[in-house]
Amino acid sequence: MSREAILGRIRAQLKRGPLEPAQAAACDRRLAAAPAALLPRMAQFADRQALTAAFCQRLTAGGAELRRVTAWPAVPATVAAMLGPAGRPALGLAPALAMLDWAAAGLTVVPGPARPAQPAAITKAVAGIAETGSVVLASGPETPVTLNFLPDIHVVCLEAAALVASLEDGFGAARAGGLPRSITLIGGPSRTADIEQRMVMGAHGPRRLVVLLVGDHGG
Amino acid sequence: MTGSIADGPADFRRAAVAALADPALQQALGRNGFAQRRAQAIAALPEYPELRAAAAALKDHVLDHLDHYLERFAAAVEAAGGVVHWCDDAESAVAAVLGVARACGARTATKGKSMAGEEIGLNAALEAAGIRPIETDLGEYIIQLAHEPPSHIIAPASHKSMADVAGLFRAHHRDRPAERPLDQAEILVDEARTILRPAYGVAGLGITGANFLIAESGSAVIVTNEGNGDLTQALAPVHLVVAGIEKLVPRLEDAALLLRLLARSATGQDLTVYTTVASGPRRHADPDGPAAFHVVLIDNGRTALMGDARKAMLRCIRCGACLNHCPVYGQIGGHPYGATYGGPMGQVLTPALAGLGAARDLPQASTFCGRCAEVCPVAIPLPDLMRHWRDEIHQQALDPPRHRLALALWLWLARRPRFYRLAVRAASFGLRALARGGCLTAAPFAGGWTRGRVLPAPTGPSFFTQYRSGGNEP
Repeated sequence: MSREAILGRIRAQLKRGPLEPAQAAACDRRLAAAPAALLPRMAQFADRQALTAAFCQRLTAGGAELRRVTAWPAVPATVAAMLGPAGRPALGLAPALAMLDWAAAGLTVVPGPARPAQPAAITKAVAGIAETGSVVLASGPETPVTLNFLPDIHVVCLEAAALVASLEDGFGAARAGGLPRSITLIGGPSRTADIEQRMVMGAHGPRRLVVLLVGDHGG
Repeated sequence: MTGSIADGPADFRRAAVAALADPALQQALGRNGFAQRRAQAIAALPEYPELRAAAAALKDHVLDHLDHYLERFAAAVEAAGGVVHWCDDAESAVAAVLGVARACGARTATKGKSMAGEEIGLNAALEAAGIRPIETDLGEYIIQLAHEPPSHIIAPASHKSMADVAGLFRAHHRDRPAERPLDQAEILVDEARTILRPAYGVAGLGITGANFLIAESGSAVIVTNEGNGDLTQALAPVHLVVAGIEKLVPRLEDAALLLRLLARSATGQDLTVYTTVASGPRRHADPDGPAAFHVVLIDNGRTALMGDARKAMLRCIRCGACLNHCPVYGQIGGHPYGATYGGPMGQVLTPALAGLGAARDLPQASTFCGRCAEVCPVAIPLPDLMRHWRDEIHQQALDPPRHRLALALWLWLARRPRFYRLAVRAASFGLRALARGGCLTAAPFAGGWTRGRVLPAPTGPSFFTQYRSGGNEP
């Protein structure tokens, strides 16, 4: 069987048999807990304010649009204003946001996975990473994964309190309640430079990434 | 310029000469701005040396315990409801993919960019089995239309001009108006987007590679800028990952360390636009996502590198920095290497994948300037490893008889100082006699070398003679 053949070749090349119990246990400890991360300065922040400022700066440098919203009830009106006429047809919506009053803002929403003709989808991120200026999206019943990729415009709502410093913190936040089936970090609209190294936005995924940072502004 | 590749480099020398004389290719190679963008990104990350050392140490730790981590990875994939296929070689890997494709009744397969898929010749095998592969990465899509292999591991269509792409789109997208303008990258990207979009929803199988495999959770991590890999794996009913066994890291946090180096070394970005961690099939209450998850783990010659210093090659995270900084790759592009992986990393990897006999020219195709090792984010000593292969080529008598004769002659001389000095004196005299204006434009046995270069003639007695005439004892 190939499994045994591959493992056998690895062991033969390393000139040993299966790992001794002590070594195996050491590897398993390594699997159970990560060693202390080597964090670059750009993933370390003096305070919450610096962290939030870095997130906003790096996210917009990546081509995303950012709006700060004081509280959740204000989200639908902000989305409607940002989408303009593009928000008129029915929008895809993460069920996690279904409790907001979208109708009051003049938006028609369809909670659930993305459907082909939807021009925009509104989802909720579990975290934002200041180191990279990325939003962190976890899949689940309340946050269908297809909403992140199919529509032309991707609107992501993110609680300001969910901003974290580093990639490690972002992964940690995403798996806090158990590892989701999929975690995606997104740093801007889809793009490609495959033709003569010219950067073109809107390759296959969304052409616009709109992030709404909701709540306490962290100073 | 080249036909299909079956990981057996044909004639590197002839292909390299043809590449040098190809004006369109030379123009395309001149467009490579990756090196400059990498330099800017690394300059903005003062901790780069420490991160690089940590990344190399991490990969070495994994490789030294690869059997254990592979078993843990497989157990985690299975615990999440996925299936692992262990494959010794390209043939068994292709058989595993076809097995999955047939079982799920797929008639088309969308594909995210996968060098492992290229390595095992997956597209040709799918086509032969009546399953239509659709490359969704724009670069891969372009070269699929052109029936060409990739010329760069991260920019597969970098040898194509905009006009080439327009020509391909006109020839293949027959339902579009023939006279439409296709003279801007934006128009071409948009056309590819609208052509490929329907494919995601109808494909029975979505195939991606993996930048990292996570042992603790059985996850596959992919990075893209286009989002094509995500559409591929989120919309197909079955997600299949093709990856080499060396892609493993223990934990998600370990992937974070490598992610800090990967995009910076590749395109000069801090991070790609999309980074996705996929773990198993759709869960009970999930409204979308693939219903099945397969991982095809490929050895295909990798374990053959694990017994000596060449093990360091398996640290490679496929960023392409060594290609972007190689003076040889920069002159000839990826196709003359005649293998899936071109440039310095390919020169070390291909002999293990394709056999040293078929790839014997590749470890020779280096100036040994060392830039590849310098820019490698996981500190692979690429020139040293090429030297390792050169040694083996000689040990196995795979080098041309002329080389062997010349080396034997030199060895004989080097062991006999008296004759050696005599030979040096004769050569010095002979070369001076042949020189015109202090320079040689042709030299015996070195026609290939002097065709593109001018050799300065020796100007006086040898170092040894001068040393002795200065009153020194040898």
